[in-house]
Amino acid sequence: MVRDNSKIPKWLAEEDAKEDPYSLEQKLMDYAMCKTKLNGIIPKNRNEVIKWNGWGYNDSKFIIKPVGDGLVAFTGNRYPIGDLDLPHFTQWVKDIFEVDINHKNHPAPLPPPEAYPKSLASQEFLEAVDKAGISKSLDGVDRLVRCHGQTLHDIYTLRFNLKKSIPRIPDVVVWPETTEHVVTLVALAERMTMVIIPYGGGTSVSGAVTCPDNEPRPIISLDTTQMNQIFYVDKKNLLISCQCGIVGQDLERFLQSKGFTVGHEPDSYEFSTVGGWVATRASGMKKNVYGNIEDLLVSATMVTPSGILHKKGLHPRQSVGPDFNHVILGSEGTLGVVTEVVLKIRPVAEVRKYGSVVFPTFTDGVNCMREIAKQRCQPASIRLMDNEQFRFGQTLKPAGGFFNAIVETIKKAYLTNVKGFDLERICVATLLFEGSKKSVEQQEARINNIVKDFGGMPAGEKNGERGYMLTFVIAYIRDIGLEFNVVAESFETSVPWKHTLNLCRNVKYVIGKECARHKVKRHFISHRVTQTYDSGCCVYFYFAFNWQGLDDPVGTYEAIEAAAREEILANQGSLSHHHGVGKLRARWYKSQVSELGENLYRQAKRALDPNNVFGVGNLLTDEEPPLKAKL
Amino acid sequence: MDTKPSSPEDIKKKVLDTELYEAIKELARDCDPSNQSIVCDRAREILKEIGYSKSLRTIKWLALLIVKILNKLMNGIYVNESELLKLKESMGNCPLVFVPTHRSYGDFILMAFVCFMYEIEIPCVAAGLDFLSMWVIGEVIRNTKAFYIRRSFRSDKLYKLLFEQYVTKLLSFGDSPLEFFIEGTRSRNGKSLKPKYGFLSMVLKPFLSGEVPDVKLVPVAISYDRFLEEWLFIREQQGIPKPKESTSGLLKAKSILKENYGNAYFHFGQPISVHEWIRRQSDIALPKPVLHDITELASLIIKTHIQLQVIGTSHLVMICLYNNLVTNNKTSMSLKSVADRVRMLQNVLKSFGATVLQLQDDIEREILQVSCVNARLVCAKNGTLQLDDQSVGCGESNSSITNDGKLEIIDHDRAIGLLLYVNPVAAVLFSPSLLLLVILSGSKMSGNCDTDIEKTFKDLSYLFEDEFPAALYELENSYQTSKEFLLQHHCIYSINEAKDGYVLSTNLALVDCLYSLIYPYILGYLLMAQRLLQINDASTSQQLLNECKITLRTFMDHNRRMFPMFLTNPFVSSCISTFIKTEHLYRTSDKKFLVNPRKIASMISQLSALNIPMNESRMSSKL
Repeated sequence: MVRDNSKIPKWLAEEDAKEDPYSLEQKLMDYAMCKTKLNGIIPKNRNEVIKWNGWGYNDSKFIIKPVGDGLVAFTGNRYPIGDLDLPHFTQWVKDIFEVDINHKNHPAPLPPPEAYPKSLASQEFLEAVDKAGISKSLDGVDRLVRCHGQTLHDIYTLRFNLKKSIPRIPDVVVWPETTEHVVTLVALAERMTMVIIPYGGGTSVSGAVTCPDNEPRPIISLDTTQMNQIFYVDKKNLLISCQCGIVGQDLERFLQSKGFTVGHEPDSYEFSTVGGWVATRASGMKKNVYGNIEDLLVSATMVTPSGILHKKGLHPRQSVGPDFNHVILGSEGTLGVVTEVVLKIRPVAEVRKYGSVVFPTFTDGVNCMREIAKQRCQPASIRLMDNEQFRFGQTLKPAGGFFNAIVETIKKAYLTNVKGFDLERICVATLLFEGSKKSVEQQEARINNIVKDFGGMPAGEKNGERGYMLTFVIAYIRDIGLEFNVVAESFETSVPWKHTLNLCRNVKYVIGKECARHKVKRHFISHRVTQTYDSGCCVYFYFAFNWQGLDDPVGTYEAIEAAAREEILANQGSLSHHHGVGKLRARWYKSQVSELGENLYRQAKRALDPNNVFGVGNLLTDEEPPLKAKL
Repeated sequence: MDTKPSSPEDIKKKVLDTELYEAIKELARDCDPSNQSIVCDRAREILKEIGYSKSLRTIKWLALLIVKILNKLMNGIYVNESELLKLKESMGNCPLVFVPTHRSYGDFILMAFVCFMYEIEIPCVAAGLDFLSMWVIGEVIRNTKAFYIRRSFRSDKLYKLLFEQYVTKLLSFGDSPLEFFIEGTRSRNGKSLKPKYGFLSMVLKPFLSGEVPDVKLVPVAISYDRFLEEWLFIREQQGIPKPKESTSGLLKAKSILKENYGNAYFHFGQPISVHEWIRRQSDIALPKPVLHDITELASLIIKTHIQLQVIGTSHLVMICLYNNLVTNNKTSMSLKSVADRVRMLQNVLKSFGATVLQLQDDIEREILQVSCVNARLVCAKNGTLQLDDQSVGCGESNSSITNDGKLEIIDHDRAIGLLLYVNPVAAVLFSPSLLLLVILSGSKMSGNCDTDIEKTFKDLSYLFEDEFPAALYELENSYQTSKEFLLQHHCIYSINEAKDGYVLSTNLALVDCLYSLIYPYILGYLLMAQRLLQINDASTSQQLLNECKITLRTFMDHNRRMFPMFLTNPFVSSCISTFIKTEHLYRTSDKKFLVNPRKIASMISQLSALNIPMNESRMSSKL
């Protein structure tokens, strides 16, 4: 029987004499393994898409519309609240902070090209970079947008202090595309006494990517966003191997099109990169199903001045001495550049379902979370917000019913059988289930049973979905706050269950006390439990205040946050659950890891980076770098 | 954090709901299964004994009764209202603990009354178990929110554990402020007692464990123009035991209702936030405060008490008469010179941060009023004020012979009564007085250099810790402020600024007064040390006490002098206990004490180096 070849693509049907048959096989292999270079959302010119002096996309922000007394709205169509007026939010802001919505602080514009300090990068270096075929830029704007992360200090400086002076900015930006490029750059920096600061999504909230003010050596900003190669997707072993510069949302979009997911969703995952996750020990919203980054990471490659740190093989687990992945995880750019990683992946879940639960009090909510964690039946995500945050969340709704479904649900239930729900005290947990249809149903039933024991009741799917959507929108609020004399920031910790309620209460108290001490007139403090573990949970605080009448809002904020952190530590909380130490929390690092622990880290640094090329200055508080380079 | 405040019964239940109590039960069961029910019964009994309760009816009736009694007894109760209202406003975000002075049984009754009048929740007060034995009254007090604390915890570990838990739960879940007396008992001599640390530590516990975000301690000075228990105190100080608290005793004591006791003053201090004072150590399962923090906090409270206590004209008048008695050996003083000194002292005390009542324009008339309210102590005759009405008409007599032929300058009761009014002021002026004495003795010695002075000053402050506990608060600072005080009021002046040499300056009236406040203490300790050096056998502390008492009496009789504190038991006993603490006396096996001759001798030479006048002739030539 003669085969009908007409339906087979030509390149498979006829052998091309000129083509190397091996190359075709390679091509097919690559195809099977999904080898591809992604076109990420962050271009080389970051500021074309992403704000240079604030959070997120250029087209997405809160604005004040000149309607009546002014009306807050959210622009763009990337988020569900886009292009909607928010009258309740407008009122809330006025009530909580007593802001004058008609008095606006105008942020500084981008400085003109001639305003930037001259680059300290030597001609020799620039030529070597060109020769190696690595893309670079000396442009002022390119350098400015990579001098900072997303701490209050960073953003405030760019918005208001830029009028006075430009902070320390990198001297040159480079865009390596391969590990070899990075090796070349590190060797050059080592030889020419330069500093490298790896830069990914720029979403750090610990000061970890901020250029140190007093660094005399030329600073190279090593932008990883062009390292976005997927090497392979291993469907059998459920692994993905890729470069470090891939942004979370790009990675997920790509993988989900193939039917897989990493499932790592930190709140910053729209912008943060795989390498950044590893370097800060990130935690994802859905860690209950997929694990935190340390659970997901199978192998990593880190380029250091002393060589490449990379362990052999892709073993599911091993007992081969201390695991040096854990030297890479949380190294915060101080030991080298993470260039390639292998992560675990999972098939995309059949069903994704939101849910929400309302409790009479926060205490009931926490006790219930504890029980759920004890029974180890957490859904993909479970978060508990306090009353303040619940009320705040209600305000981010378009005009219409103010207290909506949740209140309606309570009212209905109140009439029938439940009592003791006070709108001033209730708190709400949001849930996200992932799995097969059947397993999601079972999970939901089990959760609802436990919730009932703690006086709570289900409050609908819509509320849950809103809760998770708001997570991404909340990050945009700080920018508009700054325009109206309001500073806002978040900080987090992890704490054993036993101390959770004490910690929440006591930190709120200390914040109130410190605000009074610093003569802060109006402030807002709220907390939520965002992750649960066997032995404890992650608590996230949102803190904002109106700085009217204060000379130094950032200094005041930092003093208050430091007092709050002291209180957290005194109440058995950790220095950080997932934000990292950076520069902001370096002063407490030693007290948390012990003196010997700190020394161990120093010795690791000495072995990997003896001349402090990676001199971004995180974790340690030394004025002097650990080992000063000979100039 | 969002739990509702608990009722008295809930608090007790919470104590039985703790991990600690579970562990007690388990341990008891593991030792012997039959034990558990015994322990549980016992625990419930203990909690029943401790626990406060609240009866609005009792409170209202009592308030009515108090108003009646007060109308008879007192002219008025004064409160620094603004501070109290501020407190009232700030209540709610962390527990409030009132820490008043304790000078009278009236303290906690009036405290409850003041709170009641200002519509502040009546505080739960820690009351001594003695009251519980009073028929009916014990339960009445419980119903007005008193909880009972035993005098000693030593013999009962279960009690201690449960009591601590009870206090913790009161703070964490209770709806009322707490109140306790840091001095542990009523001070019988108008002077702050050395603070007790036990209850204070308990109050800190819920803070250290994170159960409450903070605890605010509010020092309160409750001052009286005249103590209700004045004559009881005078007797007790001479060693006559206090009558046991009993209901019949209380009814008998209604005789005190016939007299007028002037005003009472409630002076609320600013709250002290424990959060700012107590260091916390994390990683400790059973958090404990750093001992130094507790002692420092306690002496801050006592120090604040001293500044808050209200010093009235009667105190100032008594100081003048005391000064006259001790320095000049005279019992009467002209009204005019009293008035001058009262005016001077008022300014001096004010400048040193004390709370002094405003004088009326006509000081002399005010002084005469003092002699009316305190008629048992002073009387005014012919333009003079006299401590001794037996010698009326004898002019400036300074002594009289009693029937048994002993020389007696004034009646002992009266002398001790005088101390009750002198002591509050002495507590304010102790540090500058001590420094003055050191400087003046030093100026006669060679090498009057600052560090020597400072060292002697500090050593002596420690020596007199039991007498003036507040002096140890920020001792470094206290040296400086005392020096500035003496310079400012022209008691001393600097002759060599570089070397800090000082000599006596011009304000002799004040110098005289300060000197008279301090030197009897030095003299007394010196005399007692000298006597102890002669004792070679092991003796009980009672024996030592008697020996010293006789020595002091003999000295006064022999030199025809009167130092009122020499008559009191607390003076002698605190000296002995200080010597025991500093190991000048050491304990032998059988509850007896032996003298450490070398240490005592060195103390004697240290005290004599201060060059205080020891006998008649030197006394008058001293200043």
